[in-house]
Amino acid sequence: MDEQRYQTIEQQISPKTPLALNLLKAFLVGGIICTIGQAVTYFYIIFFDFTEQTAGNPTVATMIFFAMLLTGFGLYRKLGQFAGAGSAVPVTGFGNAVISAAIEHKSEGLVLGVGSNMFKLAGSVILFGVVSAFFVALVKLIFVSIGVASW
Amino acid sequence: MRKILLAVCCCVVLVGCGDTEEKLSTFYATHDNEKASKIEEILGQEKDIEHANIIFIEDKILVAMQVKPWLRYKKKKIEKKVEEDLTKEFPSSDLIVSTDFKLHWESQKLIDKNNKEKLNDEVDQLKKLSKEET
Amino acid sequence: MVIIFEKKPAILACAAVTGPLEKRSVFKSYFDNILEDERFQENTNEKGQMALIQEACQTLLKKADVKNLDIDYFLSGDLINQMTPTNFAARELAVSFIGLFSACATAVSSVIIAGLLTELGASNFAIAGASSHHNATERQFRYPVEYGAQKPATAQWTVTAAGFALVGKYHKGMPYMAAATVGKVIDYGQENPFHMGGAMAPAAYSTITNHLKKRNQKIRDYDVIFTGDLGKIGMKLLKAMLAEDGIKNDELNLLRDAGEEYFGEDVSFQAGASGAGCSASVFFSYVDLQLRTGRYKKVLLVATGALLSPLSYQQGETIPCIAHAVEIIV
Repeated sequence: MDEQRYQTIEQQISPKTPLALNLLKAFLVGGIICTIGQAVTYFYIIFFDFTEQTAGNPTVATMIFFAMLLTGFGLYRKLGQFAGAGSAVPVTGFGNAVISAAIEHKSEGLVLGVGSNMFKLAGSVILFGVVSAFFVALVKLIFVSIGVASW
Repeated sequence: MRKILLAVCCCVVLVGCGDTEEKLSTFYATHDNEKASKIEEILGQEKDIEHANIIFIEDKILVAMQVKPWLRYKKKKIEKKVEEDLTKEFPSSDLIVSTDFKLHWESQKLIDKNNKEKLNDEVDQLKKLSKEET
Repeated sequence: MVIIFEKKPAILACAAVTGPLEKRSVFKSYFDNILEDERFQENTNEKGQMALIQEACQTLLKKADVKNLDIDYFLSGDLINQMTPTNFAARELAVSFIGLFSACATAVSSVIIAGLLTELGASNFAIAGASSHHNATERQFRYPVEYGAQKPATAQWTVTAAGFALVGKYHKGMPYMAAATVGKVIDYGQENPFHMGGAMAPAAYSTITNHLKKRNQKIRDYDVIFTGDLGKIGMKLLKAMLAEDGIKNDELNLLRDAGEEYFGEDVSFQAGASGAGCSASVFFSYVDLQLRTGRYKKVLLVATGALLSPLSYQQGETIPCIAHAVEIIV
């Protein structure tokens, strides 16, 4: 059997990813995580001296703390299998990527193991996030200089 | 089971569509009827605000607003507009205008307490909070 | 390349040892030992795999009533870089060692080489087999174990298992190797590392058809043709390829796959099990028992392997695969 024919059969027989169901699951789980984040924000605003402006930092730290607990207990992996992008995109997913890599490489020591490999998965996120932020700011600077937008 | 769930969902949705309450809550520690009526008039006409807490003390005026839900994207613009309007009317007063939830919550607490002592310090504290960046 | 074993090297004994998760396997009652701790109280996964291999070899020696000193060769391999777990276990075993890499097809390729050494008269007793460890393999080939990535329905679960066979001179009544086919590397342009079954099916097809042609046999001459780890989808593809050649359902039903059946209908393992230990632990426990009890008289064991690395995938390469087959008669 030649390669072309095999590709055709393989496409037919291999199960397709259930896109609609996956989208729904990702939407629900992502939404729930964000709702929890909003609850954490309100918690900090009401019970501590944070304003909406300043509550962002402790909220993110708390969400990453939750991600750390779930990752450490092996639960985030199960959530990820169910939700896909719904658990990978929020900041908890970023926390999970870093924490799981850190746990994995503990056996090689703190410097060469944990230190070098912790950002194995999250490194691209940081790099491209910073680079795109730079370019977006540059574009805004140009717009402001022309006079189309204001800071 | 499904029927109960449907009924609960209907209730939740209807609660969200509640009627509008009183638009302004005020606490006048220093009595100045002229300023009071003017500010109530200005804020009463502001269409984008859902609710506003106003506190008058000595020469300070604290206005903590809650913007209507779908207009949250224009929060900063609305805050600036209201601040401009109020500065035109009351150039001599120390204005603190904010759309921040924290200020709204705290000012609501102060209004409910209805206590004049330490009010000055509390308002100063809120002013400092509104200036924080991170 | 088909090899005929004139002297009929025998499979004298087999042993299979697995990690704790494999308790959920349908073959669990056939395994010799299921460990409580997949790291075997060691502090790294790789050391745990080394301990797994040692445990399997010791169990094999006990079952065969053969001493360590009597072993002439140790032939094995695994999926880890430079095969370190196997190398370190070989150090402990202190036997002449040849490390072999055929990815998940190592279980059969090692048995073939052991058979050849026995045929040559160079070996009286040789241990042949393979092993894999889930955590160590995931870390190397895919993501950290605790990472929340969503695996598609075509993905397979690398098992923590080791299976070994003791290959020696012909003994009447013991299962023996009649022939073997050393596979060629087959690449049908599949690129998805989460769909190994789809990449490996053509290799299995090529080896099976070559073996049958050169040996002048049909599928129905066998009691079963057992593939290693094609998984649910890979097995469907193999059967589709054979069906296009005109093979009918009654013969296609003689094909079984260790990976597909390993965890039964449990959906948490998606398309089934895989890994060098998958074929090894099923062939050298379940299939061996069926041969000894007479349920099977003639089997073709076809272990399949995907010869990729995480780097080759990142560099945009396709996945070349290989399958080795050994014909065992009792």
